[in-house]
Amino acid sequence: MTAAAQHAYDTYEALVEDYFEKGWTDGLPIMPPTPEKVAAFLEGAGLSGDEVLGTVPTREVTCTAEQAAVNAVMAGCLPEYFPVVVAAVRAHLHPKGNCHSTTGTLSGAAQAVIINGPVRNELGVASGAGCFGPGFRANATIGRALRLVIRNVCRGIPGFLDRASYSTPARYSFCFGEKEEASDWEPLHVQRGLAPDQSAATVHSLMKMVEATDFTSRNAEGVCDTLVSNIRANGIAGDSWLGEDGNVVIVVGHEHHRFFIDEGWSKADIQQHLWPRLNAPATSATDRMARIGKPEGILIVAAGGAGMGASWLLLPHLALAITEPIS
Amino acid sequence: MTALIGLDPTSGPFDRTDDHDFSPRPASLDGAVVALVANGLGEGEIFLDALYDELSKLSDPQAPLKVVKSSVSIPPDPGDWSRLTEEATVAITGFGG
Amino acid sequence: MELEWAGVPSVAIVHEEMRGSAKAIARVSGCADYEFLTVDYPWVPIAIWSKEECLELAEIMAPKVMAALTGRS
Repeated sequence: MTAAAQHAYDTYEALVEDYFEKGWTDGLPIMPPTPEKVAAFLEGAGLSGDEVLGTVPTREVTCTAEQAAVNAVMAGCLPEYFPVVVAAVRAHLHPKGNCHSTTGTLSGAAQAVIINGPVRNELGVASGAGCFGPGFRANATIGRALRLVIRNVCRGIPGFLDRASYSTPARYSFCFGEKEEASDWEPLHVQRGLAPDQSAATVHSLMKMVEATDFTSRNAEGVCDTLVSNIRANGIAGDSWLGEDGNVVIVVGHEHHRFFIDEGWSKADIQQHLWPRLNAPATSATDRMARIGKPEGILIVAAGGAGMGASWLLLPHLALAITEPIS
Repeated sequence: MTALIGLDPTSGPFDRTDDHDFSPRPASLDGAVVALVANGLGEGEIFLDALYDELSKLSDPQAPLKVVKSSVSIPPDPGDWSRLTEEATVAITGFGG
Repeated sequence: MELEWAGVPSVAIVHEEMRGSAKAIARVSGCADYEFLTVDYPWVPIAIWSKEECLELAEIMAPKVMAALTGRS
């Protein structure tokens, strides 16, 4: 028996059209969230429907496992993806994930879901070429499930509690895996205290996504200079509530990653090198202090495919990157 | 004939009824402690200070109680909340950017 | 709103472009009739205003704020 209200339809098409009509979609068709499918998702994840995954107190919202399952079915997830969705929802609804602000802001911030651990290969989560874009069912539907939860459960609806002036295509879905097998770099979730064989989802708010292009550097320091100049040109949002724990995510592309590996730079080496340079005083309007309280706040993830001499800077809104284990 | 049941994906209706009452208003701001609650964005504090100055031309309030939230997206810190609820006669806040 | 419920008469100042989400918060908080004061253009929605804009707006808003806080129209 479900807590969610049930709506009856004569046809699949009638259901899909009605869900559009009710404003329950992201503008794309959804898969029907039947009681049987939702039950299968919950059973596969070992959750009861009334288990609370998180709350948004300002919006008087409580998100249950059942609500997340309904939206995960709608997103087109397979049942085996649901534990990842659960972890992503928990991460986003962590108090310092700041759902209310990051999903309501004029800036139209999105959420980047970064997957680590064995689950990536088990589910086919893409971490190489094309991993930011369409074509990978796990990436597309897990990211979409979180966004549908944000819309339908957390009330992040344009014109209601979502005030984005533009929004962003990343709000349809943005989910990718870390390319852990590419090197001996310590994976993100291990840096954050989890065991290597424990899968995890990290949700990072995304106010700006900046490509740090560098085709000419031939060493690690050169790439770092490019990363620093691009981050300082854009700045990093923060406030006293987030304090010293703020984050920035750097997705190191294949061509840049090679230099770090060849020269034996670990992630910690990069963090220690970047941190004082990011926090140096501003010198101009386009070279600002990018305040990060601690080197460990610089989160580095290898992903992407060969070819482009580019890394990506995922600049946050007013939230911390939160990592949740996947059960 | 019903062929398909779809579950509601939302957290319920937006509206709910509460039995909260609005606080009774003072007859004037003479002698009132006016709280200025800024969210820290933009020039909100300058505006609120200027607003207080204008109110002081229209009435005779006490010195203002100023609060600047540590984040735009959370309520005032517990210490500030206590000051507001224990000391303020009235409060002026802002919403949004 | 929470200040009202805690016994402190309050007024919120909201840009007209934020009216929709202010009303939304009022609705989900069980206070759909909550009234607030609005500011419109030429003041931009994000309060990145010059000092002169702040002073001018304060002069305009003060009587409205006074009325909202003392119940006198």
